[in-house]
Amino acid sequence: MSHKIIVPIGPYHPLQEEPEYFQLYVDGEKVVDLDIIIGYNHRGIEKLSESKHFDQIPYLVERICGICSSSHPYAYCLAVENILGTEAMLVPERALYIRTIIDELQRIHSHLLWLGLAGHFIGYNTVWMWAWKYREPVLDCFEMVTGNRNNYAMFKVGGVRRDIKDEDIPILKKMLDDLIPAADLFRGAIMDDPVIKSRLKDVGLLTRQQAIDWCVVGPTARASGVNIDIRRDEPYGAIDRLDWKVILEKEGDIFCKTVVRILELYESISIIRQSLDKLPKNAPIDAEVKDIPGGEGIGRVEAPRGECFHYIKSDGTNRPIRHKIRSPSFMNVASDKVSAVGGTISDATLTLAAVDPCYCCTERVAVINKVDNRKVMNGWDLIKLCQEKTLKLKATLSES
Amino acid sequence: MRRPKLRELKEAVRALFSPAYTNDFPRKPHKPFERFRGRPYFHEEDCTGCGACAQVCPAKAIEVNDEIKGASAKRKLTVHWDTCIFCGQCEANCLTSKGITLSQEFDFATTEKREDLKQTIEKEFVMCECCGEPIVPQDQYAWVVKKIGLFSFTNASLLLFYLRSVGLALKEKMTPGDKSAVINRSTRLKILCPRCRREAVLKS
Ligand code: SF4
Ligand code: SF4
Repeated sequence: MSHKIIVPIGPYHPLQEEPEYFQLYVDGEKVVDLDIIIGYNHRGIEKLSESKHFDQIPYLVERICGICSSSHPYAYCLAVENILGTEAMLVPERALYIRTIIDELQRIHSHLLWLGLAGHFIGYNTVWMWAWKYREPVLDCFEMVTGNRNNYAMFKVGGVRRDIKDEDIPILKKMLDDLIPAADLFRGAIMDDPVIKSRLKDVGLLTRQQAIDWCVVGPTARASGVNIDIRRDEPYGAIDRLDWKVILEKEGDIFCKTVVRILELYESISIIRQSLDKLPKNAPIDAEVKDIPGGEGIGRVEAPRGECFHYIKSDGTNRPIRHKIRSPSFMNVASDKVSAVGGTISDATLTLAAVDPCYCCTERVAVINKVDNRKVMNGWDLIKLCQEKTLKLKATLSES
Repeated sequence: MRRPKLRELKEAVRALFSPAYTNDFPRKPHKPFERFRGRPYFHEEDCTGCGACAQVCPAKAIEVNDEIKGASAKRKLTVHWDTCIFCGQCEANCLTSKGITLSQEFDFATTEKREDLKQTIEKEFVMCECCGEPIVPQDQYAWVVKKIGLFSFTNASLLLFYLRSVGLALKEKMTPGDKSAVINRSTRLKILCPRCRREAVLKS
């Protein structure tokens, strides 16, 4: 047998948002092949959704993922609005801006979360603490505006459920102002630090062609130079009236993925600022939608991890007869097959985490050595392996 | 390499001399924001017992049980906090918009069983004076009468209910569940369920 050792990672742990099971085939330190087995978290949401009526489904789909919990209801609402016409036709102006604000706030908190985790995996626990500390005001703003830190219950077909009050706007603006120095800090800390740079550069490489071949989406694709962003390609909400740009990097390694996410923080901050300024005053926030006619509709939203896709088929009753969901990580996780292979085990953790499936909190890791010799390690060991490499790098860098 | 470190050093020093960022939760109570969505509570005086909240609840956390006991019937409305997802649909769709409201409570830690995490209220039914079937909760009748005002004079059941509640008409002795009661012209001046009302109108 050419594959000497198999390192299985997974399948699940309550902290992971999407339980996955990876089998690393390693030859010494080198990862020679990778098997990805998913489906551990099948909750039958698509089927369940067919038993709820159109007004209840947003609450269901926002629980698909606690971190992109505005992207899923948003994509769902767009799909239903697609049956009725278009979002711009149906939804009042103010609601469009509120939708955009919530969507971008969510991107900020999701990117900060990922940044913290990435810092933790490479052994920079300070980055972890700081990123999560600066994420907290964002969540507080969510709680203030929507009533909860996650699962915002904001979206409904035809508008939004809660309004942003006038007295919230200065608080939101202040939070954004305070976030800029934090983003500067992270940009400096990650881009100038020689250790982080050499730790992340050329690790988990995904070339442009590979990114296209494996159909990756979102920041993972943009870090490889694939110029896609649903917000620009198929604008929704008020995003096409605002001034922002798509962040692109070329190399496709983890460093680029980090840079893309950090720079997207600035774009999101600027989008929210512009939306808050342009928010129409004293306008309605939802349009009354009485019946959903028969038909099909799709909705696409740029979630923090990439394109989130919903398909709704209605037969004119108050429940959909088919609801199909494709979340971004489903596309991105597959690309690990090319980006992790060829690297070392200590890089694998980071590479798998770089597409942001939050898998690394995995608790049970087993190292299988031949068939009869099975050694089970704690999931922490894998992270430790990853952190040790950073320490080694630090030592060599300070010598030179 | 050294210069950028200064910037992070500044943050580190600031963190060192500022109080802990986390708070002392169980010892110091946490106050959520004003619009926080927490544990929903029924308010007995404002709830009419219509059951609309149970129908819109996406998590099926509100249970409606109609209990018929002889001549009277009660509707039991229960909100189960262990299955509630704090979405606010019930509050937004409540008939009176005050019957159930979300509070700011978020701490559900309990030593009781999770099935005990609930609140139940009871509502007395208006009974059909012909067949003895429950029609709607009394409070909902009262709410409708109040809402439509003078128009309730167009409906014998509503009118009678109103007159009795202000003491202008006598309470009728009821024969519960008496399916054999004769329906004739005079039956029309009773509180009737829709089925008996149709029959009475047809026969008279
Ligand atoms: S808050 Fe939502 S889940 Fe809870 S009882 Fe009300 S409608 Fe049901
Ligand atoms: S009045 Fe409100 S709280 Fe009471 S049953 Fe009707 S909808 Fe529910």
